[in-house]
Amino acid sequence: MASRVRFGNSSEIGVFSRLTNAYCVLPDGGADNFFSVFESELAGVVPVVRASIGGTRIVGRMCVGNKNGLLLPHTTTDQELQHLKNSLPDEVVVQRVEERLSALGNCVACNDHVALTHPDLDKGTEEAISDVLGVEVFRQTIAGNILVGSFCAFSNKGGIVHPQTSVEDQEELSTLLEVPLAAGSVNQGSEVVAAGMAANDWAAFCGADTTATELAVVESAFRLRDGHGRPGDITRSLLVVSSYL
Amino acid sequence: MLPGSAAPAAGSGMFVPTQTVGTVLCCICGVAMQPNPANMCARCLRARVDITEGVPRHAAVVYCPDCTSYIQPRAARRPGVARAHADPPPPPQPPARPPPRLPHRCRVRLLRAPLQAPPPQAPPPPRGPPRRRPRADPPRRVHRPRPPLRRMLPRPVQPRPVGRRRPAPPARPAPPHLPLPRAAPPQARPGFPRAARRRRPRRPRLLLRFALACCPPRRLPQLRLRREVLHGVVLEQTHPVEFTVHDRLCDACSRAQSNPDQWVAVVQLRQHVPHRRTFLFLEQLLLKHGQASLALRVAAAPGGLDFYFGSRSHAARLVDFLATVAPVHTQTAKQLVSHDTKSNVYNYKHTFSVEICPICREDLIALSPQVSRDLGGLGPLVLCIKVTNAIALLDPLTLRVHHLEEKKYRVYNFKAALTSKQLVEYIVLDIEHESPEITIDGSRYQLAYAQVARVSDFGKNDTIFTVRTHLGHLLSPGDLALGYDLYGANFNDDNMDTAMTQHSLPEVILVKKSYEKRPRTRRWKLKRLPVEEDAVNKAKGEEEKRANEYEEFLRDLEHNSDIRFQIDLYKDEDYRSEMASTIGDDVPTVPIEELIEDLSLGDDEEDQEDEGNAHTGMVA
Repeated sequence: MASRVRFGNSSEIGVFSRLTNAYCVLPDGGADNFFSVFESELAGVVPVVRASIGGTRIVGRMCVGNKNGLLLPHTTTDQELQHLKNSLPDEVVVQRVEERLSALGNCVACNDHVALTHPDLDKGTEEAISDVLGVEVFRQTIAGNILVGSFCAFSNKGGIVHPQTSVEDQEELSTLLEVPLAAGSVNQGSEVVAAGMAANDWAAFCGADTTATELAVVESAFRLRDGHGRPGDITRSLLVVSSYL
Repeated sequence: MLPGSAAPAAGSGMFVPTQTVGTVLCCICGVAMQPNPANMCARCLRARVDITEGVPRHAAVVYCPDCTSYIQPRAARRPGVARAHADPPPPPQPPARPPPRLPHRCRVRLLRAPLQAPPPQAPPPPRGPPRRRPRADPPRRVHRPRPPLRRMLPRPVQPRPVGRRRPAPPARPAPPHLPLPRAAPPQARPGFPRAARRRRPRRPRLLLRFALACCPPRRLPQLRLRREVLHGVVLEQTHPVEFTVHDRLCDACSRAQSNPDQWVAVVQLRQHVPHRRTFLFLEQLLLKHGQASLALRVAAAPGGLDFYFGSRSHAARLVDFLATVAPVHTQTAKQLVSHDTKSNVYNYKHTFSVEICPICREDLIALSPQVSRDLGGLGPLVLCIKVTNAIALLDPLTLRVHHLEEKKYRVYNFKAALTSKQLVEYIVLDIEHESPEITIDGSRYQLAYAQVARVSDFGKNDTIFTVRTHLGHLLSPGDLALGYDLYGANFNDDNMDTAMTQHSLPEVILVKKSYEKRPRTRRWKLKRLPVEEDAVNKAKGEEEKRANEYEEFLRDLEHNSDIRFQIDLYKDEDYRSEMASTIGDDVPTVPIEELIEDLSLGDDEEDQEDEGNAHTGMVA
């Protein structure tokens, strides 16, 4: 299920959160309601880590990661890096990259297998992405925008792209990513989809301005309705079944 | 290869894949549509955003029924109008009505504001005899005559609370500026959550610009507004505005009603010469340059004209103009009419006394020895050949020309010894050229010896004069010429006496060639100023004298192209061509290329306007 959430007065919640299948990074301090929504959805399944990156709260735009690892920009302090290393599960590799384009979240979009990157990204960064995140890297644009991390959001199940992406581009991207894609918007027509939402394979959070139609598009694009709930759901349903036996 | 891929683009040789625009769901209602910057269908966009917000639906126009003008209130007096918008001058094209101003805060762009005079809805008030109306202080008024009378037939009058109201028509749906299906116009604005409205992103500043365009007549003004709404989406909408016409006398008219003969300044133009030629010419100059159009009235006075004005500056403007075209001497005076010391208001009547030098073209002047010496030994007998703001004096015996400015003239202050009234007709018996033809100031002269005899002497005696003349290029044996008869003239001029004793003066000074003076019709005409004649000019015999002077003036124009070029000649529609044989071949006439087609305004023109506007209406 997708839920609506607001960070302070902002509906751009993708800016303030980094959600993967193995962990969720949220900014440190303020906006208690924001954290409670995330924690109620994710509690007990993945760790919800509160951290700042480079002293900022815009963690979703600064870092990029998946279940294998987390890449941090060069602005991250040693203390923050250490805190994240301590908080995240041991199998998640946390690494800082020396990349000129420090807003990694805007430049890179990835799931657990594929990453789309900004065309001007360093070779070293590209290698770090493929090594740390364990993904295949493609330099791409979305509807003519080079900030692929802002204009598309996808998980291992599906994703949405900038609403003005042409049909051909959508087909090409879904061939690369091997997930179905849909064109859509969030936050009442905002085309910066990744900034307005955060999603993994079994949960999605959208900005509070998102309309019911947009929410429905997100849910169907990320395959959140077809019975595959969070990882624990199967066991829980088994437990329910076993209690009836 | 993807199914959408296209062949290599012709010319560039580059492979350009086709781009098929996908469909997205409208973020509000979920209808499938092509993506746009707001990602919202037109219907939802219209429901959410009212671009006419803040644009007035009602406006008042003040109309002066007396001078049939729409009055624009001063911008400074109206609250809510930014000074910056009021400051730039109105658009160069004169609008049919002052354009309505939009309040400062609504940042819409006015694409089209078709404005025109309202159709008459009430029978016109009983109008007395046409009043003379002052035209003082008109800059903020736009003159728009009422429709012709046949459209003002009485209709049942409905009681109206204030002014005449023009009902608003139903709003016409306008296609939005998006590649979207046509949507219905916004009806009543649906209630939308307050919070949602507040969160609307700040609109970028757009310059308020008026674009005035023609509109079919007798339709209500429908403004076309454009405004940028959410995320850079631009919406366009038709916005009917109800104008209420308030009848109110303008300041000038109300002043005129209390005292119809009101004038503030008078220009008394005078020239002390026995003929009226100068004024006939000045009249044409004033008409051509529109200088007397601001005059309340023009009256003839002994020895000149009086121009009455409603404002001192208008009179000063005329005086300035006169100073550029004639050698004038101006004196001003003012008389206190009333005053209010408490508010420091003083009302004066200003008088400009403008005197034109009494030297006219073709006058013969005998210069005193001192003046002659000052002018480098010019003369002493000189002809005035041209009068602008300087007087051009020609010595006909040496072809020297001297231009005398008005100030200089006032120092010498000579008079004409003989004027054009005293010209005598001569017949040229023989011409002997003395020197080649030369050009001075654009006029041609040639010195020649001419044998002439007075026409009046024919059959009486054999008096023949051999004189030097500057008209050698014009005259040939057998021609008639006009000249001053120094041999038989009686002078009352000291300078002439001195000149006669000190120099050996010629017996005749030829001035111009003469042509036959048969009255004839002309294919051109002149406009006239509406001059009120005073009692003296209405005396018996005066009428005929003036007609003769006018005829003489017209003949002068025909003979002299230099003068003709300074004024406007109009085609005479009533002219019927005469038999060619009745006009002498040598008599100069005005070539048809110099004539101007007169502008006539009538009902026909309005019908044409109707058709023209119907056309534009279809285009718009």
